[in-house]
Amino acid sequence: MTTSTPVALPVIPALPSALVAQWITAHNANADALAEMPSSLAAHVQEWQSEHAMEGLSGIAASVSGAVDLPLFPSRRAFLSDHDRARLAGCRAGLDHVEVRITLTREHRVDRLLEPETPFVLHALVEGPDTTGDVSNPGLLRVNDTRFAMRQSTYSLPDPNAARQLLAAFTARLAEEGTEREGTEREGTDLAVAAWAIFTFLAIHPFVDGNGRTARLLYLLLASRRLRAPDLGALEMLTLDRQGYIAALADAYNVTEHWDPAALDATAFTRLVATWSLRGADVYRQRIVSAGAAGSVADQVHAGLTRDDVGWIVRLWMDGSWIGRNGAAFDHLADRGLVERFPAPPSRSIGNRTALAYRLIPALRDTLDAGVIEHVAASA
Amino acid sequence: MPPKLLALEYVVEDLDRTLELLVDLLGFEEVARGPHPGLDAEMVTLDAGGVALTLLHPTDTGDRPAVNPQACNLSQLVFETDEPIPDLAGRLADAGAGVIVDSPTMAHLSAHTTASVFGVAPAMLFIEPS
Repeated sequence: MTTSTPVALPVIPALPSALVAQWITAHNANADALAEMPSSLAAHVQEWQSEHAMEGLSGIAASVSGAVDLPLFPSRRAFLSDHDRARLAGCRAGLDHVEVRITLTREHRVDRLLEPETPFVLHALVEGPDTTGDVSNPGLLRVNDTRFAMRQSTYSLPDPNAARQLLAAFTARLAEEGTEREGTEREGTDLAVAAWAIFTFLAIHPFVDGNGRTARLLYLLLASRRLRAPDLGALEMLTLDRQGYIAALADAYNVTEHWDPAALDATAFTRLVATWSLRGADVYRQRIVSAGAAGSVADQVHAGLTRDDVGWIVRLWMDGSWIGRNGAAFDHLADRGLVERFPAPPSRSIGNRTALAYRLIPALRDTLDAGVIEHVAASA
Repeated sequence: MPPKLLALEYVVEDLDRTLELLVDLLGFEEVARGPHPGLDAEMVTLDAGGVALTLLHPTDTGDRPAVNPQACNLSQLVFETDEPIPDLAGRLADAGAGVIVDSPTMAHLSAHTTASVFGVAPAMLFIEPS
């Protein structure tokens, strides 16, 4: 009989309790604000936020970034290749899994957020739709040595056998976190644990491809214990600051040439994730406030709109245009002269190049824009 | 005097999207369209500011030789624009293109965007006149 030595992992860093409290408050205030909205409107805001975050998670560049003021509601990306669509579909499937898992945990129908198979399931979902055309073995650990894509890294990833052991230790550690924390002094460490999970998972790099997407979905799962909705804002900000994200990981990994849990320090990266998350929560708050104001303006200027009508008008205001499903909702608004139909541009069409698209009439869009600006100025 | 560049020809994966990007959004004029005389392809010629930009989209009529699948190797297109870069970037982004603003006078399209149009990902760079 042999005994195995426990595999050591980097330490989970501590975050200031005030920062953690601020983080929980910021995110749950958004959930409260959404709960105060008509559900038909809140659903659109949540879906918009979710779809925007999935564009970021899938690695599709935002519609605009860089040295420019970013709009509060960036346009939904068009000009997507089949490869891009596959990545998006995979990320959405991964998010669905995370959200179901969070719900089941809250309803005490499963014991913990993360099971040993969870990283494999998430990886299979994000890589399943054949996102590269290359063999990436969805849900299977890598069997070859690999290197970081990041050029500035001098850290060598663990070999496949070591990576397999480390991943097992990683999931065991997270399971331990998930069961020992309630009512203990470790309460409130979700943010640190979730950020540490990204850091450690990427240092192990257990899969051929899709490690980043899988790691960030693990973050959403692990950060959710005290949040009433997944921390999608962190994913958005992390995507916008991708250079900072890569540099922070490279800086932390480059202190050692090989896996060395004593040298791999997640502290700086974890604090950066906290910053992104708070920034993301603030942007989400601004979106919720603006969408609520747009809904109020639409309600005031057009008598007789149902709550569903208002929800769809605000959705068009956020999205700019809409193609495909739910055309019936827009046909009804078009009949009232509030929405106009136009041929869907090729960049947004999939298959059916004769599809109709819908957008607000310019006068209504201008009215909503002005009303939202006025509301935001008054509330500031 | 060095030779003057008159025309570029490029094989595109999605002609409709290419025309949306180059004609509808960037404003190049379409000056000719029709079957390519020698290859099994639809051909559209644009006036790209004194340079003819010809777009080939392979078809499958079988009455002419097929377009060489290895034909497209263009890696970069650089455009000078009088439109302020923030305005151009905002307009392209509103249409859903991925735009990265490098500086107040320079921007480029994301590789995802150009790949969705051309099938491969040439850089498309926009600069204001210095």
